Amino acid sequence: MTTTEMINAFTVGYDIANLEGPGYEDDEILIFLNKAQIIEVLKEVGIKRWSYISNLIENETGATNPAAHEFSHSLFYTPSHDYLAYISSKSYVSRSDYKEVNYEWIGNRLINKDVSHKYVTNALNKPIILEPCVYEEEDGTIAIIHDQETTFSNQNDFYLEYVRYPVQITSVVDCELNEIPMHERIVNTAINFAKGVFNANEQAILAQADRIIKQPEL
Amino acid sequence: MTSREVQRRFDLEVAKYGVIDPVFGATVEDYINYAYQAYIDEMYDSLINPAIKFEINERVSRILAPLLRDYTETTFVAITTNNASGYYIEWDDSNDLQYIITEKAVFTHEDCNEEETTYTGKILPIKHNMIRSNINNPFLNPTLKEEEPVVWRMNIFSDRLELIFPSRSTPISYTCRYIKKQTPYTINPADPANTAMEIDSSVHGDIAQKAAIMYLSDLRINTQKTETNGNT
Repeated sequence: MTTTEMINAFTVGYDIANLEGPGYEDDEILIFLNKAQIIEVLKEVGIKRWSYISNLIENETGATNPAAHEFSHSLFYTPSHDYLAYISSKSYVSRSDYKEVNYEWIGNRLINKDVSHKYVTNALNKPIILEPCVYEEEDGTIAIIHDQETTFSNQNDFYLEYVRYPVQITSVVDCELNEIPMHERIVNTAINFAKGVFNANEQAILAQADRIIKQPEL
Repeated sequence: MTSREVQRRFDLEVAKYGVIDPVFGATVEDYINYAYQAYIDEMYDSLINPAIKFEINERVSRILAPLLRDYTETTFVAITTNNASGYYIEWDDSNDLQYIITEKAVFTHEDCNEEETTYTGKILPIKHNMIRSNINNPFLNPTLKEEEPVVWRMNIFSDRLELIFPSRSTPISYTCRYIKKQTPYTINPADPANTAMEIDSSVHGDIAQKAAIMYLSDLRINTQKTETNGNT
């Protein structure tokens, strides 16, 4: 659907269900549509169903950079697009001394940031990390932790597949998500938001939407 | 197995029970050392596991063989606290004595004609309280009777042995074969080539497995304590 078609669909659906509700201008409808767009993308991310949001999936290869913090054997990678969610990644590494590898692509393991300290090498902790571990930083970069036997080449040594933020829907920019089934779902969710503005019975839907935004992995 | 291989085996064992994130390295080191000591004790001491004791079969013998050492001491210091014929020997700087396997003492004895004869005596480990109770018992105390003279031995301090010889004896040498204290396992090997545990390599995996079970057991107890505290 084009933006115009989405606005029309919104108007039709909203008017049928809310004969006594307030009317909305196109700019206001776009606010609902954009909010609904993010919610629907996060729902797909939460269940790791990538096929419905394949238009947002980016894959790229780039160089890692030394991390600014004091942890040894850690790096970071900055995605070139506006990062939303992690799908998978690989590192081009070599290993010495234990389970030797001479520069090959090794799949990374996603961990949570709150347990990342267990993977950090220091005088008291020498973890064996055969698969480099990655976690998402708050600023949208990817932190990488490896062990003392692993060496990154620092030249196109990181491959990342991720979901980027969708572009905002405007009067001149159409929704870029997969038309089937995402456009219809976005319109329906936007209608529910619009209904929730004046109808208390719709608050539960809004609360659910807020929860999904806060905890997209549920 | 190298130090890293043992650590990896520990990680795999705890992962079977859902501990996926690495256990803190120093903690792994401690648990492997607990298990290491417990394993050696079990292989040596029949009171811990009556089915397994030192050299009960070829396999058990091989397991502890890398820890066996020979020791000879010729310097004796008189210690007359318990008996006029008492001496102690002090272990060398290695201070690595753990369990004695076999031992003997060579000494000279001066008979009533003041003629000296050299004997090789069998060492009898005794308890400290047996000194007072048996020292005047001619059937039990250190004497030259029969073919093989007897010398008493007691453990005193971690690096010292007290020997009581038959009266009018002068010690010449003490020789033993013993199980040395194992070099502790470390996650910070200076040289990976030299960091394998000294015990036979066939049981390194067993020690890592034992350490993992000990860790998981403690983890379970701590978790239960936390849950109990949280509920009260």
